[in-house]
Amino acid sequence: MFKFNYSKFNRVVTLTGLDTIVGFLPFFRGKVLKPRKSIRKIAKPKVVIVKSPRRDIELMVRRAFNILDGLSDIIGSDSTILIKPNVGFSYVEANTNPKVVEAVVKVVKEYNPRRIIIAESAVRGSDTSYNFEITGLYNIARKYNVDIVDLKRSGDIVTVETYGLKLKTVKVYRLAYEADVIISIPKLKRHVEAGVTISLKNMMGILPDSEKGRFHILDLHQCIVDLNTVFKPDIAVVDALDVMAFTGPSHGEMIKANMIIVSKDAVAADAIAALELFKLEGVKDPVRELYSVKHIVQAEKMGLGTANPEKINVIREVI
Amino acid sequence: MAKKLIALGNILRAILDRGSVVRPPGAVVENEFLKLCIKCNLCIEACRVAGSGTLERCSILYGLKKYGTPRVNPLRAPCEAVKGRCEPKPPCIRVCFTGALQLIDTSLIKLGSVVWIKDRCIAATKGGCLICYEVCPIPGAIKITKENTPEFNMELCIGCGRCVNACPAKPKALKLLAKGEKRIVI
Repeated sequence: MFKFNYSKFNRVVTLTGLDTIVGFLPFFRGKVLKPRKSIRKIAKPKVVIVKSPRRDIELMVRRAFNILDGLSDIIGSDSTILIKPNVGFSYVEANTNPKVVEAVVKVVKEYNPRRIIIAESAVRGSDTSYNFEITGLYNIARKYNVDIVDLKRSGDIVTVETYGLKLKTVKVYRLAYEADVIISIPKLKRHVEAGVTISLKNMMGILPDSEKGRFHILDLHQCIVDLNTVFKPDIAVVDALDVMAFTGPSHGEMIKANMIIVSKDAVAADAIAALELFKLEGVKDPVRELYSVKHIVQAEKMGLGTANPEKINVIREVI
Repeated sequence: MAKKLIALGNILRAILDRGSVVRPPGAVVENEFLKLCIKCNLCIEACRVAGSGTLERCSILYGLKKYGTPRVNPLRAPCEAVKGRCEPKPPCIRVCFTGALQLIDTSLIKLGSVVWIKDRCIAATKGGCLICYEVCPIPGAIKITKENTPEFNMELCIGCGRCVNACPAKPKALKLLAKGEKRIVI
C-alpha cells in the first residue's frame, strides 16, 4: 500500500523546483512541529566568573564547571549536544576564541554523549565554512573527532511552534531542533540594535537567512526572547577573554578582560556578563544600563531565568 | 518629425547600451573591458564553484553590447574579494585569460557604491534593524546617526554588496550602483 511520506515528498518538491508553486497552496505549507523539550528553570542560579591573566583556558573552563557541580545533571549518555559558538563574521576578532570551544569540547567529551555537533549559520551574506576555516574550528573538530556543520549548507529546515508573544512559529535548522542539549559559547560584544550580544542573542545562529531578516522587521528584542522560549541554551559559556566594547558587533574597541563567565541559566549569565562589559566600559550606573537592554529584561519577565543581579549567586575565582 | 527621430535614436541607443553595470573585481576600464571580454563565462563558473556565487551574465536588458558579460548581483550573494573567502586572489581573476580582469591589490578594490532609499528603510521608518551596519566589513563606511539611522560614506564604501544582500526590507532599501568605481586603466 502506498504510504505518504512527508519528508520524502518535501525533498522531491524542493529538488525539482516545484516548491515555488506548491508553497503557495495552504495544504503543502509544511507541518508545524511542537517543541521537543521544555526549558530548564533554576530557582537560585549560580554564575561563575573565572579570571586568569595567564589564560590557561582549559583550567578555567574545568574550574567553572566544577563549581557548578559538574554537568552530569544535563548531559546523559544518549544525548545529542549542539555546541553553538559565535563564528558569524570573517574577522577573527569578532568571533569566539577557538580555544574556549576546544576546552568545552574536551570537557563535554568526558561525559560520553552520543553525538557532539559544532554548528553555526553565520550572519547574512557571510560564508560559514570560510569562517570555520579561519578561526581554526575545522582543525579542532578533526582533532577531537566531533561533527562540525555549516548549517547554511545542511539544508533541512523545520517550522517549530514557540510560546512567544510576537513570534508564533519559527523556522530553524533540523539539527538544532533535534539536539537534546544546547551549549552556547558567545563572545561578549556590544551590538548596535540589541545592546549586547551574549548567549541569548547567539541563538540566532540556528536560523536560516530569511528568518533573520524577519526578526529585524518584527522586533528584534521580543523575537530573541520568543526564540529562547523554545531553544534556550542549557549551558552558557561566555568568552570574555577579549571584549568588544563601545561599538559592535563587527568592529569595536578590544579590551583584554581575561575572563570566562559560565552558568546553567543563560539569562543570568547574560545579565552578569553585560554588567561586566558595562563596568569595563566605565559606565556610571551599570545596573541601570543593564535594565535598558530590553531582551534580557523581557526574558526574565517571561520566566526564562533570572536577570536581577541581586538574586544571582555570583562566584568569582582567580587562577 | 524631429521629435520622432530623437525618440528613435534614444531607443537605438538603449538597445546598444543601457547604463553602467557593476563589474567583478579587477575589471579594466569599460571600453577596454567590452573589447577584451569574450563572454566565455569562466569567471562566473569560478565564482560559483570557489567563490560566493555573486557573478551572473548580464541579460539582454542591459543592451546588446553588454549581453553575456559578467556582473555582480548582490541579491544572489555579496562579493567576497575583500575581507572574505576570495582573499587574496579572487577565483574570477585567476581564471580570466583575456586580461579583462586583472590582479590588483585587495586594498584598491572598489566595485561601486551603495545608494540608500530612505522611504523603504526600516530604521528610518519604524526604528531598529541596522543590519547593514552589522555586516559591513569596512569600519567607518556606515555610521549610525543620532536618530538611529545608517549614514553611508561613499568614499570608504567598496561596493561588496553585503548590506544589499542582508537588507530585510521588501523592496530592498539599498541599491548597488557602479558610481565611484575604481577600474584598471590600460
